[in-house]
This record gives sequence, structure tokens and C-alpha cells, in this order.
Amino acid sequence: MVINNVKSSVNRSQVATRLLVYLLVIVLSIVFLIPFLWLLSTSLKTQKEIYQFPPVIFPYKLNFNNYYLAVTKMPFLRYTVNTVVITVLCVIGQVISSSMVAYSVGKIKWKGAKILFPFIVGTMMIPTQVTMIPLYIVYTKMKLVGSIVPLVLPSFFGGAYYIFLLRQFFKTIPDSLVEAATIDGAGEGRIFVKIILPLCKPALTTVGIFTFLATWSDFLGPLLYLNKEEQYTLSLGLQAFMQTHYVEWGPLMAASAIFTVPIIILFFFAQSYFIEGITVTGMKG
Amino acid sequence: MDGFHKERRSGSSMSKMDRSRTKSGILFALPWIIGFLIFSLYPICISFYYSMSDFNIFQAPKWVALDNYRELFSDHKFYLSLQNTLYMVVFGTPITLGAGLLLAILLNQRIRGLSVFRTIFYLPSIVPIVASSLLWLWILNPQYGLLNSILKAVGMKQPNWLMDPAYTKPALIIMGLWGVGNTIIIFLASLQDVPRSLYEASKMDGANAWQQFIHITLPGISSVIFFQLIMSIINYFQYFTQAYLLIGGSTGGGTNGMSGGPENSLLFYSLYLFHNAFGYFKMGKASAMAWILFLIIMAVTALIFKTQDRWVTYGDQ
Amino acid sequence: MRKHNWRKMVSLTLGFALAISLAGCSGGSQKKTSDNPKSEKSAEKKTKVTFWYLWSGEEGETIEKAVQEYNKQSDKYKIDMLSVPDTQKIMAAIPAGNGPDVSDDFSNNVGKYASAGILEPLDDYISKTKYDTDDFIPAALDSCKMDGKTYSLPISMNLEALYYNKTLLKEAGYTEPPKTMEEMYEMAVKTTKVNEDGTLDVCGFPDFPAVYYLGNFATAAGGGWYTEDGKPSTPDDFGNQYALKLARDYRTKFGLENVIKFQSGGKYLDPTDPFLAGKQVFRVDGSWMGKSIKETFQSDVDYGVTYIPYPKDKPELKARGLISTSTLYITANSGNKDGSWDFMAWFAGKDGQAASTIKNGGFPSRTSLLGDETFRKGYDIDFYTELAQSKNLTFVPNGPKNSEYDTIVSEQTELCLNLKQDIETTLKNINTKGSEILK
Repeated sequence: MVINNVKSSVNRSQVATRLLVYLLVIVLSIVFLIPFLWLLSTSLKTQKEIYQFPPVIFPYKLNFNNYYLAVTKMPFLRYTVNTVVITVLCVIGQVISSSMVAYSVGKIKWKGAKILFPFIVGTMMIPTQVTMIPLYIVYTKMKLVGSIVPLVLPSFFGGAYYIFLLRQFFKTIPDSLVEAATIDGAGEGRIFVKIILPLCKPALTTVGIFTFLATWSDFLGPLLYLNKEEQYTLSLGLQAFMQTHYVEWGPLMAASAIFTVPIIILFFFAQSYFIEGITVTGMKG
Repeated sequence: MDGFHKERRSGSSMSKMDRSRTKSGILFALPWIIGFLIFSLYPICISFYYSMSDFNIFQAPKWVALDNYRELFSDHKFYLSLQNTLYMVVFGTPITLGAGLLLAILLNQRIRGLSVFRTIFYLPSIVPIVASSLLWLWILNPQYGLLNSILKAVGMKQPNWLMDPAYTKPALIIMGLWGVGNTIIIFLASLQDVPRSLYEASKMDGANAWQQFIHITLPGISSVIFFQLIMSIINYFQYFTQAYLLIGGSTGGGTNGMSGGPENSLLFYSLYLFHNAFGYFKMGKASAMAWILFLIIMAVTALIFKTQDRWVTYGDQ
Repeated sequence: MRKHNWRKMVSLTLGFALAISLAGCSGGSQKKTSDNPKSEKSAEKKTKVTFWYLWSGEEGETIEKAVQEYNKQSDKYKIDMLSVPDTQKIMAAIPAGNGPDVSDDFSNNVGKYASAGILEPLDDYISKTKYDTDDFIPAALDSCKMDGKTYSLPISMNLEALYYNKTLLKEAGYTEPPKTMEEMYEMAVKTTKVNEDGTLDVCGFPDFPAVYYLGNFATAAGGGWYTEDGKPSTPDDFGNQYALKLARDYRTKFGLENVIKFQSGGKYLDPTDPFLAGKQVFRVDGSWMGKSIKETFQSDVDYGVTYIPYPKDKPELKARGLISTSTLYITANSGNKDGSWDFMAWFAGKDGQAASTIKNGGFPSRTSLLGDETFRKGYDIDFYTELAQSKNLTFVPNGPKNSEYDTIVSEQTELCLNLKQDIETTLKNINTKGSEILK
């Protein structure tokens, strides 16, 4: 009898906690959904409905005219293709190069790591406004302005932010694993590919997603380095809805919605690479 | 040093090992090193030269040694912008990191549909800034906005988030909370790396949730907290885009398009730098600002790096 | 994620190299597909002129068609154009030598750009080709000069006036718009509607967007932030004092916080714009307003437009206003200056403006175009035509440090309007600090 009572009271508090957690998450989700829902709702409104103030949350009828305008006002398909090409290349480059450098300053035991790592982090501290023009001049001398190379090339040389992030994750991998592999005769390359990388899938996926998002929405880069409208990316395309004295909110929201959808899809599916609930580090002896 | 190295301490084999490690170290770091030499070295060096010149971007720079720095030190807007920026660093960092961590912990509670929720929390970061800037003007509208309507309903004061100099920065921090998606994801990834076995073992020893948090979770994710802390500080020191968009939105850009917000309450360091560089064509002064900022961030970061050993744990520890 | 073994790494690297070379090639081989077949024939004989412009979207398309018109009628030059929505690109490209030959900007930047050496002086070209500059509205052309030298050509004009909500005025018993400042103030006070908690439901004063109206009022009252020779305004300037006092009086009367709340409650020319929502009685704005109200936003505001009022004992100041212009310029390091001039001259000429400015609903800078058919179909044309010919139109004299001075004026007047600093100190500060900059 006593045991049953204890069991049921324990269950009740567990249930209460879980309910609380779910409640919190749902409330917060609604809060976080506001920007996107508002984006969608504006994209489905007619011009008159948009300019109603205070704003209506749900439009009367779903009006897809803005989407039609968004897609026909600018060469949507071409801009999307351009953006995808640049973004995919950047993701590939960034994941490979940043993980390599992170391994060097995070896991390989060599003296240079102590100096190199803070130096890498240091380069993030210089505001880009002052290096923007000299860098542009460097690319001009290399005759690369007017192509997507300046947008893609740097990704293959590692980004300080991602290097830092990956280094922290790499460092959580116990040295014992690395030593074990070394005793077995594995070289650094093998260790990197066979041990480190598989263990850090969440971190690598994170780097991939962040790079994707940063490149997908990059405005200044394409603005500076692309010289023909056929090369333009989606972020530049959004400017088409901003006229001298006003902004065409309906089509802009529709375009933004379309702009955002691939990222959401990508993000959703990339999550299967996040290890959910099961840890791998330290599991092996 | 770990035991493995101690065992092997015998003259030639250690240095051979060291040498091969150094080689690998350099090899793996090569991408960044080459990239730095090609793309960063020249811009960084030349910006240093600019900082000591009178340079309007288009005509040849004229050497003025430390004049730009001297001018900055007697410029009240320099100090104001630094102050505004420090506000964001000091208040923004703990608030956004704290919120990100809390939400990550919340999501880490073995919730069903985790993928969906994680996506939802990340969503605001994906919405193009240009689109969400309008939304924020509506939410923060002091008369009809969502935020003040809620405050009115609970009987609290409804400040003017957009025009009252005392409230413009808090408004930015509130806006920033919607962008914690990034932080959540990183913390979540690191939370999931903390071995469950540790929690189970401590539970058997009778530890409660709080103790588990302090003694297992925090140390377990300390390496990532370290990362987030430094990145947050670096980012807040360079705070620019959000302020730029909010100012443009609420005041129509000011008379010359170079406003610092209501009574310059939103004049952040990077924004003032931008004004100097592209607004007043004073690239020399802007470059000097950049280098001063660099030194400041370096000092703060170095400090945190030094304390690393005391609270950051890695690997087996 | 992907399993990286060495073979994959090598093939990825090769793939990357391939992608780079493809990208490099494709970058150079793209052609603008909108060329007119006729001009293709003589394409080899024509030299190229690059034109980068800030317009985009629909307005950009109008510009494109205008440029194509030029290309068709020119045997010597062919314009290569690109929509560049942000000036940062231009500022990076010009020093690198990659910049355009011709670009557009605004008259208030002429001083800044000219002293940085970006703008090619145009007086020689004007005299060499005997270009008709008399047709330009005088203030428009003057706004493109610095120290008497011409640095750009005006392609459209920004004129500002007082817009008013007829419905709201009628409700308060007014059937005619105000002529004097005093009348306007009286109407503003009468038509303001206050909520229970003191906040403004309807604002009578043109206190939106922000303090946009201040410079216009100061000018209309005979003042302005610059003297005629480009120096800072004097502390005893009547017009400036008058405008500041008017604004402060309104704010004091209805409560500073309430006015500011109203001000921050919306974004300019957008769903939240109070004038479009019928919540603002008076509004200082430009000639594009009519089209915005009626077409873009399809608002049913019954609006009228009139001159910015003058102080009642200074009727000679009637229709004193500040104009600014959109301009075209030739970059000083352009590789094809003759071609650039030829294009620019056409674009700022009658045909060019008809095809670009007027089609985009803007106000031309040439007197002869004030009779253009398409132009006359615009909004409030009669009023603005008359305004454009006012003898009291003035402009800001260009100088290298205007931007910095403008910032000082903004900061000081903000403090003054926020009732944190009195008028006397404000005007004194503007003069003292301004004098350090505008030497």
C-alpha cells in the first residue's frame, strides 16, 4: 500500500513537470512564430488589407497575387539558381576547411596551436567596414571582380567563427580516444576522418546550416562583386521591391517567404544528423 | 600533460613525435594560413596605415601619424558610441546567452517533436532582416504595438521603445531575443554531448536537478559557453545592422541619412565608424576607430582566455 | 554528414577548381539580352559607357527603357547599365578603378563627392557642346554646383509643400487651407484630437515623419540652416527661431511625450503612415505624395496641397522653399568621358527626362518640360508647376563638410524640440560648432 502511494506520487510530479515543460515550449513557440506568421499573413493580403492599421492578423481571403508578382518581377528562377550554387559551394568549402583548421588548433598537440588559435580569433575583431575596400582592391588586382569567386573562395580557407566553434567541440572528445588510435598506428589524417568527424556530426551540421544561412542571405558580398544582373542573388533581388519613396510590402513578403522556405526545409531535414538524446562521446572505453 | 607523454619521455623519440605533430598541425591549418596571407594580411595592414592617414577613400592618403587617434580621444561621440556599445555588451550578452541556454535546456528534455520545435525557435533568424524590421516597428509601436498592449493589460508602464533614449537600447535587446535560435542550436548540440551516464550515475548518488546542473551540465558544456561568451562579446562590440535598420525605419533616415537614433542613444561604435567611413568620407578616422576597437576586444578576450583554465573543462576532465 | 576519405577530398578539390574556373568563365560571357537588334549591327563601332544606377524594380525598368532609347539613337556610344541599389558598391569600385563611367546620386552629396575628387567638372563640356542650361530651373542647376563650378546635371527635382486633410479641416469648420503660419497653427491646435490618456488620436501639426518639416518651416519663415554663401546660420536668425518656437509651442501644449509617441507610431509612406490613415491633418512632403496616396496605397484620404505658409507679417516670403535634385555625374576616373557626357546630356535633356523622370512620376528639372503631356497627367501638377516657378525657391549651397554640419544641426534641433535645450542655446551651438566645420 505504502509503496503504491509513493509510486503514484512520484508519477504525478513527473507528469506535472512534463506538462509544464510542454506548456512552456508551446507558449514560447507561439512567440517565436510571430515573425514568420506575420510574414506569411502579409504576403497573402491584398494591398488595401496591408495598409490597414491597426493590422489585421488573418486576411479575409488567401490572395496569392503577391506570389505571382514576386516571381515575375525579378528573374526568380535564375536568381535562385545563382544563390544555390554559391551557397552549396560555400557550405562544402566551409565544412571541410574549418574542420581541418579546428582539428589543428584543437586536437593536434603542437606548440603552434597556442599562438595560432588566439590569432585566428583575433582576426574576427576587426570591423569589416575598414577592410572591405582594400579587400575589394585585392580581388580587382586578381581580376576576380565580376564573378562569384570572391563570394565562394574564402569559404575554402576556413572561417574564424566556424573554426572556433568546431575547435571547442573537438576538444570535448577525450584525448584517450586519440591516443588509442595513435598507438594503433593511425596518422593524423586517419584520426581526423575516422574518429573526430563522425563524433562531431552535430557541430559539423551546425556549421553547414549557419554557412548556408549566412551565404543565402548575404547582401553586401553579391552587391560588391557581381556586375551583371544575370549573376545576381535572391538577396539582391529583394531590392526590386524597394522603390524610391515606398516599399512594395506584399510582393516583398511573398518573395521573402519563398526565400525562407528552402532554409526551413534544409534545417528540418538536417536535424536527423543531430544525435537526439543518445551520446557517443566517451561511450567507447 | 597526460600519462602517455610522460611514458615516452626519452630524448629523440619525443622530438620526432613533436616534429611530426608540428608538421600535421601546420598542414591542417594550412587553409586558414594561406587564406589569411592572401585575403586578410594586405587589408589589415593597409587599414593600419589608413588609420594614420587623412584618407577620403578616393584620393591618395596623406600621412598624419597619430592625429586621427588624437581627434578621436577629444570627440565626445567617440566616447558616447563606446558607452552605448558597452551597454549592449554588458547587458545583451548575459541576457541572450542565458535565454539561449535556458531554452536549449528546455528543448533537451526529451520532448516529442523536437525537430519541429527547434525549427520554430530558429525561424526568426531566417526571416530576412529587411522584412522583420517592419514587424518590429509594429510590435514596438508605443501606441498600438503588441508589446505595449500587453504591458497595458497587466497595468505596467508603456514606454516609448522607439523614441525614448532610455528605452531604445532595451528595445534592441528584446528584439535580439528573437534571434537566439543560433545560440539555442549550439547549446543544444553541446548539451547532447554530455554523457547521459553521468546523469544516471549522479541520480543514483542522490543528486537533484540543480546539483546535476551545476556539477555535470555546466562543466560539460563549459567549452561551448566559453565559445558563446567570446563570440557574443565580439559581436556586441561590433553591433551594427539591427540598429541601422531600426533607425532607418523609425525616423526616415534623418536629415542626411546618418542618424544615431533618438539623441544618439543608438549611436553604436560600429555605426559611428560607418558614418565616418562612408558618410563623412573620413576613412582614416574610421580605420583608427577600428584599431582601437580591435585593441579593446583583444584585451577583454585575452582576459577571458586567461580565466579559461579556471572554469572551462574539456574532454576527459 | 559526408564521410570524408582522401579520395573524396581530392575529387572535391578538383570539383572546386572546376567550379571556380566555370564561374570565372561564366562571369565574363553573360550578355544583356535586351539589346535592340538595330544597335547590334553597329555594335563594333560604338564605344562602351557603363552606367550604374540606384533605381531598381519597376522604376529601374523605366530607366532601362530610357537608356535603350538613347542607345538606339546614338551611333557612337553604347550604354552598359546595371541596377546597383546601394552606394557602397560604387564607393568600393571607383577607387579600385572598376567604377562606372556615369552614375546617379543626389544634390546634397555633390559637395562631398566633388571635394573627394570623384566628380568630373562639367563646365568645359557644357561650353564645348553649347549645352542648353538656360532651360534648367535655376535652383535645380545651382544645386549641382560647388564654388560656382558645375559637377553634375539635375534630372529631377524635389519640391515640397504642405499637404492637408480636407475632411479633418472641414470637421473643425475650415474650408480653405491656411496661408500664414499663424493660421496653420490655429488650425493644427483646433483639429488635434486627444485620447483619454492624453495620447494623440489625430495630430494637427505636421509632426510626422519625425521632424522633417523643421527645415522647410525655417526656410519658409525666411531662415534656413545655411546662409547663402554656405556658412552656418546665425544665432539671431528669425526664421529658425520662428520655426523652432512654433514646434515647441505645439509640443508644450499637447505634451512632449504624446507627440513623440504619435511620431514613432508609424513608418514613412507605409501601412502605418498616419497621414494615409487619416490621422494627420498637416504634412510636409514632396511632389510624389499625390501618386503615393492615390495609386500606391489607394488611400481614401481627401487631401489638398498648398504652399508652406509664411509668417503673417512677411508675405514677401510666400512660397519660399528648399529644393533638392537627383543628379547624374561622370566619375573623374572614367575611361570614356566623351561618351559619358553625350549620354548624360541626353538623359538630362528633354527626351531623356521625358523617358525617365516623367515616366517614373517624378518632377522634371527643365522649364520646357513643365508643359509635357505625360507630365501634366500627374498629380497636383498645376500647383507644383506654379511652385517651381516661384522666385523664392532656394537650395543648399554645396560644400565638402555639409554632412557633418547637418548632423550637428540634427542633434541640436532634436535637443531643442525635445524641450531639453532652449532656442537661444541651440542656435548659438549650431553657429559655434558649425563654424568649426564649415570654414
